[in-house]
Amino acid sequence: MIEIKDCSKAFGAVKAVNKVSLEVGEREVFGLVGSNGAGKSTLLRMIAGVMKPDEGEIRIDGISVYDDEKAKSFLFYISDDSYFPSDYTPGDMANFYRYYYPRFDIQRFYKFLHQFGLDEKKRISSFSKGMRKQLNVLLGVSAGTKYLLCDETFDGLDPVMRQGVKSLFAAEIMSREFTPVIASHNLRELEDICDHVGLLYKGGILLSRDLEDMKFHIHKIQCVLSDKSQERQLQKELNILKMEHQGSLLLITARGTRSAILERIQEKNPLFCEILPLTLEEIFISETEVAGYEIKNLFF
Amino acid sequence: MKSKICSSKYVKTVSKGKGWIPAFLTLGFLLAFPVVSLLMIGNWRGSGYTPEQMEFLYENLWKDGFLLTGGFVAVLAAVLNGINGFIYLYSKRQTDFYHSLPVKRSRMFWNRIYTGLVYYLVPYVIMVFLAICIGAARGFFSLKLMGAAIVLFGIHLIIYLLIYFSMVLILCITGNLLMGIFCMGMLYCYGPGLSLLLGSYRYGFYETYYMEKNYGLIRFLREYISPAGLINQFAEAYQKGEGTGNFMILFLLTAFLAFLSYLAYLKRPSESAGSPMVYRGAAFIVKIMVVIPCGLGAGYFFYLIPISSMKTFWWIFGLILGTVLSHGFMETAYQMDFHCFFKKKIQLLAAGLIVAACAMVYETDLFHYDSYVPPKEKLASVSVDMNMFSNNMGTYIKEVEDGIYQVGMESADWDLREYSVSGKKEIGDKTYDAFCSIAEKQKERGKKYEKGDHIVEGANSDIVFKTGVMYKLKSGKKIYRNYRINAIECQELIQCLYEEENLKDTVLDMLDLGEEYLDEMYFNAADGRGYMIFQEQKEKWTELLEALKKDIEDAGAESFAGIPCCSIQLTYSLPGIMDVSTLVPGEENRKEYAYSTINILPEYTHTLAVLEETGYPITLDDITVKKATVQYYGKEKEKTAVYEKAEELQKLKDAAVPAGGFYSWLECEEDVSVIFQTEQGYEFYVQLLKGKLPDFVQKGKETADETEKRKESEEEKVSMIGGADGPTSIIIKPREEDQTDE
Repeated sequence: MIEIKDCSKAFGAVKAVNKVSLEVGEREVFGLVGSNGAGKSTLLRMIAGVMKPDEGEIRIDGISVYDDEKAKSFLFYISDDSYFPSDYTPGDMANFYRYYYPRFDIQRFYKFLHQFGLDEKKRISSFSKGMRKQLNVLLGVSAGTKYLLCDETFDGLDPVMRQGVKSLFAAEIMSREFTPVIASHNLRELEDICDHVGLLYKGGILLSRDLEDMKFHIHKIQCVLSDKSQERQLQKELNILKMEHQGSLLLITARGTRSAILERIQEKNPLFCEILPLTLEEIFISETEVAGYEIKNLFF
Repeated sequence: MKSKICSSKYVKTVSKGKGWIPAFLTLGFLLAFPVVSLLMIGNWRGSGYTPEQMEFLYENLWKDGFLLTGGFVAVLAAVLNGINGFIYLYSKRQTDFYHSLPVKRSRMFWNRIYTGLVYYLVPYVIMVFLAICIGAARGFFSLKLMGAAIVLFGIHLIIYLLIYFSMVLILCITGNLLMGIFCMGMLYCYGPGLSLLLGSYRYGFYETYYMEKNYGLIRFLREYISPAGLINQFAEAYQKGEGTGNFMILFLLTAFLAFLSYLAYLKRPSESAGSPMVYRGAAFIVKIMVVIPCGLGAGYFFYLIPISSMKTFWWIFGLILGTVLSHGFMETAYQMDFHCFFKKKIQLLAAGLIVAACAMVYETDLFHYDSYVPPKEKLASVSVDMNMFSNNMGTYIKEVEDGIYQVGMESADWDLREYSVSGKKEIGDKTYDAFCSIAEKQKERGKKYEKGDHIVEGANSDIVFKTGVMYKLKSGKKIYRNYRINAIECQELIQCLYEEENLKDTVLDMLDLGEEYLDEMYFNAADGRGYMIFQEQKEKWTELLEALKKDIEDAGAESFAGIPCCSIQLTYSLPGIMDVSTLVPGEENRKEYAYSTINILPEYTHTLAVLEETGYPITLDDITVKKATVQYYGKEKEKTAVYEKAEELQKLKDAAVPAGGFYSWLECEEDVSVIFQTEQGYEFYVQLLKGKLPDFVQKGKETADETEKRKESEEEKVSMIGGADGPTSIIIKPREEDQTDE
């Protein structure tokens, strides 16, 4: 488990991370979202042990991570702007990492390279941005570490490759102790992969929730009611976060379990009623609005 | 993993793409050792050196030549390896990459040093081995040589590590290339630069600063406050067969730099990549260290330009300008933004105040530099540059081994001859007081006379000359001063030094060398002509030297301040130390040449008796003068008078100081000189003693002075009327009576 306790980091007068407390569980995909400058990369660099927090502590499986070989051996960090030593090929990179990560599976790495269509003998400097990102993910997965820290890793990957990487993560989680932590500014990128999401805003954590948990308690329903008074009744009976009309169609976003909400609506004998899937963005809108933030201030 | 990271396989893996470094160093060491070895041996053979000389030269090559060539490549290796190992700290991308690896910072530090050492040592050892093989194939091989090779290896390793760790330290405390280069330059040039600045200020503001010798703080800054200076010092000492102390200093400094760089690396925040200075404290110290000397330096630059009385104004202008500009540039470099040029005004003000305080120290001579003479109880010895002081002097000679001598440079090594303060023949109170009195007058005298010249003529007809004095303290510290001394002070000092028998000993020491090494004896007769004497009569040399010794021993102190009648110059040829720089192909024994000039005083009766046998004129009375031409020097015009009467000629002889020497302790009339013409038609020049001028010369001099004064008053008259405020076309005619006089 990654435990972050009251962690702060400032660069001069700018407070990049401000008293963040977070826990990343095991065998889950953790999404760290936030707009540019929210502190995602700084937090990830602190988790990777690259930077030392000014305040607070970060522990990996109970060991403080900064300048600790053992704690750092549990994780592999893929930065947003990755570096590869000049003249290195994917094979050289694998050889290099073998000295640092004893569980690095070189056979598997070569297998991945073939699967993703990367040439092991070609210089990395000739790779495209997306290919380098893929290579980094493959190196990270092959390193055999428990945690994989990805900073904007999906940015630059084409949809096919993105899907491939997602499948790889899913397979890894199924087969061994593996926890990817993915930082991104794009909610849509994370919604179909994350189990747990942390939202960073201006260096602070706004919320950290299980996606399923959030989805379980917020629902979006579209229905057609026969009477206006029924609509007013529903407003009183349900914990409605948002209600809007599209012609005669009523769109309601409300808190509560699916069965409780449906029960209330069915009581009103609607002409039509169905539960719609909520996007991660919609969940966030709802959650952050409750917390007193305007979502457009957070992302747009 | 720990052992793996120090394995050759690991080094091979991380060296991917960096193979050019060991390859380049291999080429460098190939040139530095085997190629130099082959070239030198070939040259020696071709120059005709004997086998013994070649062996000596080859041994020396391992001490001297290879130290330089190998040292150069070692420095290059240190720079390349330092950059290769730690330049990543300047890049955020690379820092993230390396610092996210599961390795402790401390181990990553040593891994990089280990990799660098492998790059350096492998080609070094191979090429040194090759050079040894080449030497052995040409017949030069011994255990002594192997020892020299091992010592050289140690020295080069220390040089490599010193430069390497200084590079690493700079890379660890700076965050970008510009600041890295700047700080590197500072580390290596700050001491010598500051030394130059202090020297310039002392030269500009102090009257007694002795520029030719480096000592005290100035020497310390130049030689010890720079790794390059230290290496240079060590190399010079090592070539002389010394240098253990310097090696220890190098070793300690290397260890210190290694420790500092280790700390700086461990504590360096990864996020500082790209920012100019990593540690805020270091940034402030660097700024202060730069701004203050820059302010003072700019001030001095502006102080030198004007030749008018505006010097002080321009100096202050330069001080302010230099401080503001250097502070601004430093701040701009720190913030990477020109908008910050005038930021941090409080720091600028503080720097300005320090610059002003430093400037005031020099302007007011706050620490009494010019008048300072160390307390007598702290003095161990005093050395005086007798080259300008009295020509009763000789080359400094020291017996380094039994029958082997080291000879100093006649003019530069005057400070090697120390006159002891304590002991049997000590510098007494009188001499000490004489130095104090001279020192006291320096400030005032300096204002009067122009700087630079060794001999300066004062405006009040008082001839002064500059001479160096070195005070050596019991602590070993040396203090040099350059004093302006007049004839009376010089006379007093000579008497004191002879009274305390220090000077007497110096002259006698030279004579004690005996005729065994004496090559030539040269006699400077009273008529200023030089003659080789007794060249074929060696027993006469012995006789003369014995007589001279006896006369010097018997003479009183006041005699030495008298008027010499002639002098003797001795040339010695002494067995010297075998030295590479002066080794002559085929020459078996090296010779060192030493010279000594001894004034012959009228009291030296025994010596004069021997010299009489030469038949050359010993005193002016021995010369029959036919006529004397006296020259009176006015400001613009010379006046000449000829005297032929026997009575006048005798009076002139009585007042004359013989030719052929510079007798600084004698006060001579500087406006008058005499050329005597002998019966044979030979002419020689003499000076006349002040206060002993014959009446007719005094009269002639006064007439010249009156004409001079008249001219001056005419100039005054014109200058009173002329000028920018008055009509410039008015011409004042000389008065009628003036014209008749002329």
